Amino acid sequence: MKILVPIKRVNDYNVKVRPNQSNTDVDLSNVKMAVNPFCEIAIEEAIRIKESGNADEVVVVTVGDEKHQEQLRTALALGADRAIHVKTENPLQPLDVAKVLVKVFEKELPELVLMGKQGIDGDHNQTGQMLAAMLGLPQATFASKVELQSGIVEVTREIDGGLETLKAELPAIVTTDLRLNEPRYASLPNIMKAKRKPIDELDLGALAVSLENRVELVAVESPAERQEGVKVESVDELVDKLKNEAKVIE
Amino acid sequence: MLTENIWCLKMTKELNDIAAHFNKDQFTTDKAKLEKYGCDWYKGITPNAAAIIFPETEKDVLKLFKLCNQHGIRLVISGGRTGLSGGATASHQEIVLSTERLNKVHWVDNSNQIICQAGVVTDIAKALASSKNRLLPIEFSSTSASTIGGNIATNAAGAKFIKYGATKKHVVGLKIIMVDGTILNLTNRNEKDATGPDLMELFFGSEGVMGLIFEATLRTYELPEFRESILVKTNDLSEIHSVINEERNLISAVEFMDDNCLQLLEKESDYQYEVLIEFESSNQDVVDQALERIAAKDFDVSLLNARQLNEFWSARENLPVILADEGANKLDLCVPLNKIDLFLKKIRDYDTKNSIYNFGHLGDGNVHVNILLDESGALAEQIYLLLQDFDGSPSAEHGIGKRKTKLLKKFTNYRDKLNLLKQLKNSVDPTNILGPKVFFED
Ligand SMILES: Cc1cc2nc3c(=O)[nH]c(=O)nc-3n(C[C@H](O)[C@H](O)[C@H](O)COP(=O)(O)OP(=O)(O)OC[C@H]3O[C@@H](n4cnc5c(N)ncnc54)[C@H](O)[C@@H]3O)c2cc1C
Ligand SMILES: Cc1cc2nc3c(=O)[nH]c(=O)nc-3n(C[C@H](O)[C@H](O)[C@H](O)COP(=O)(O)OP(=O)(O)OC[C@H]3O[C@@H](n4cnc5c(N)ncnc54)[C@H](O)[C@@H]3O)c2cc1C
Repeated sequence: MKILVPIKRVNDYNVKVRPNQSNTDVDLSNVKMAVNPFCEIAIEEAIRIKESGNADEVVVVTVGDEKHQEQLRTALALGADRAIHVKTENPLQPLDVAKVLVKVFEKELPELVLMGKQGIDGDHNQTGQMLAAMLGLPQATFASKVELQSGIVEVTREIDGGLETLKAELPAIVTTDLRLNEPRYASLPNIMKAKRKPIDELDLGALAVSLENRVELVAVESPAERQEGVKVESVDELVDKLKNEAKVIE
Repeated sequence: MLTENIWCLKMTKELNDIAAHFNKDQFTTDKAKLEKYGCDWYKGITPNAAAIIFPETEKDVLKLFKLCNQHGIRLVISGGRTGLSGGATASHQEIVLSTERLNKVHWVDNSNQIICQAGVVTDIAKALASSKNRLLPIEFSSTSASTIGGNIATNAAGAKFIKYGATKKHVVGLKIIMVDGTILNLTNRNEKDATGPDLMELFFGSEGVMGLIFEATLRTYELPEFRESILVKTNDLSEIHSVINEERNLISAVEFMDDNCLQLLEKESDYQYEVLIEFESSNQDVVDQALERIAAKDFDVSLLNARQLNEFWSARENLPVILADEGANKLDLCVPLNKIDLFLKKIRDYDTKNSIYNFGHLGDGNVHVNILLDESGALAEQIYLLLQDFDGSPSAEHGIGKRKTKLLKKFTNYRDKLNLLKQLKNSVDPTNILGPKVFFED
């Protein structure tokens, strides 16, 4: 069985991103980039499934410019078998990414697509769902547990008020939530070995997908600065401040 | 009893006199405030302050020093009260001079320096630097409350010591108010200065006994653009030392934890030690090349991503808190670098009850030895004896304060230093007004 794991390159989650000078986008120049944390969870899950004997091959794919190879190599270091880089200079919106993934799916024919539920940059939470719709395949989103049985994937999801368990026939699309697993550390020697592994390159133009930016980014602004809070010593002081400084109580 | 009463009466009269010289809100004997401001982070000494005074200007300080000289009242200087040795604790009816309101800070553009009054909170100064794209590398988990004055007076050092050194490395100038009212400007305006000994040294780590650090000028550093951290699991710390020796120029932190600590943090480990090594550079290639070299060694080593790093550092910060809650006796030791492996090995041999938890800054030879279940203190005693054999320091970064005076006296290597310190102290503060019982028992 083959598992396809689409992954996204995003800003490292410790980095505080700021708007650029003209407020037209966030400023990512000189910002440390990483594998989107939800995608990292998808990679981990795929590797665990393979290690448990339920899959033979884990293939990762990403769509983007040359630098995206760094994230593919991270996935290879973690244990993915193969990496596909769909090359494009322009960042794509979720629908277009899904369209590209349809092509990759048709080429690779995996039994399972495991992917992050959303990118921590745009927070779109769309790509997995749209991919499933376009392929006409079952989808199970926000997985907190994934179990494979013959021809079937059983997915547990955390929903308001409890857990929900879904069964879907393979092939299927599963998107991962935060508590699915705790991704392993990437061993340094494996990272170095991954640097020398080949990456399959696909040219976006050759995939014949019609791309179209349907959403226009109008402006990006920092949240208004909040004044620093103060600590009070006693309830009396709190009441006093609420009365006389904040004037929120009589 | 009678003498105590008379003392109290006399004290009240004097306190009233002192109070009369300050604004109402600058002087307090409120019980809750006495407890709060009368004590630092070390809770082993009962706070017993006579009053708290909040000077706002140089003049206020001079006035207070004069009054204390007149009345023979003793003073404890208090900053953010995060000190771990009781140096900022008033235990014998001293007046506490809180630097809380000496909090002016400004940036000097052309030199990338910060001028801080003593009471400026460390994180405020750090934030000012980072708003100018510069770094003030004072880094440990209490900087949200500690003050620049306190950092200098304890010569605080943290995780980044291996690259940036202790606080004194960042100090370009000091303005000191001596207890006799002299104001000293000790500023190194030039990179080189061969006009005699650098007398700022008298105040680095002086723990409030030599004079009030009123204002400091601090240098800032370029922000390192690229940073990577690796985690090495090992039973053999010499592996780590080989990395430290080979890559020293790039290393900005080396933190280790032993298996007992890992267990306490509910982490599995097949090794005796986990060590995080952080690399910093303005050039990514240089860092990558170092990582290549390390990857080629036969280590169990991983590169940590952002989430894993956050987890490591928050575990590292929680560790002392958990151990403190468990009632651990925390020894803050330093041994010469080439002896640290043997030192740790010997401590492991002593640890028959599995009650010793070691972590710390491996690159500096600084070990925090935490001992549980040692009511008699015998184990601690044994380790301190061992430390003397190793030519070690009984206080790597937390100072002596009022807490470790007895201990320090036992370390014969420090006898000469203490004697000279006493002489110097006597010459600048002959009536022992500042920080009584700090460094010396009497
Ligand atoms: C959770 C925690 C972690 C810590 N980690 C570290 C660490 O990694 N490395 C480290 O070195 N320390 C550490 N410390 C100890 C402490 O935070 C530092 O020593 C800090 O520098 C103390 O600053 P402060 O303003 O709180 O000083 P205080 O506690 O108020 O005072 C400390 C001493 O300095 C004197 N003093 C204060 N201000 C002045 C002044 N203006 N002039 C003259 N004397 C003055 C006081 O009299 C006292 O003797 C830690 C403490 C805590 C609570
Ligand atoms: C050609 C030349 C080039 C120089 N270049 C430099 C330079 O580049 N940088 C630089 O810093 N200096 C330089 N110097 C100055 C001088 O060489 C240095 O200061 C040197 O360190 C002095 O050492 P000395 O043993 O000759 O000391 P001396 O000249 O003998 O003594 C210098 C001072 O130290 C005291 N002293 C000497 N020994 C002791 C001791 N054991 N205990 C206590 N006090 C002691 C003496 O009383 C005297 O005050 C140069 C000198 C010359 C002649």
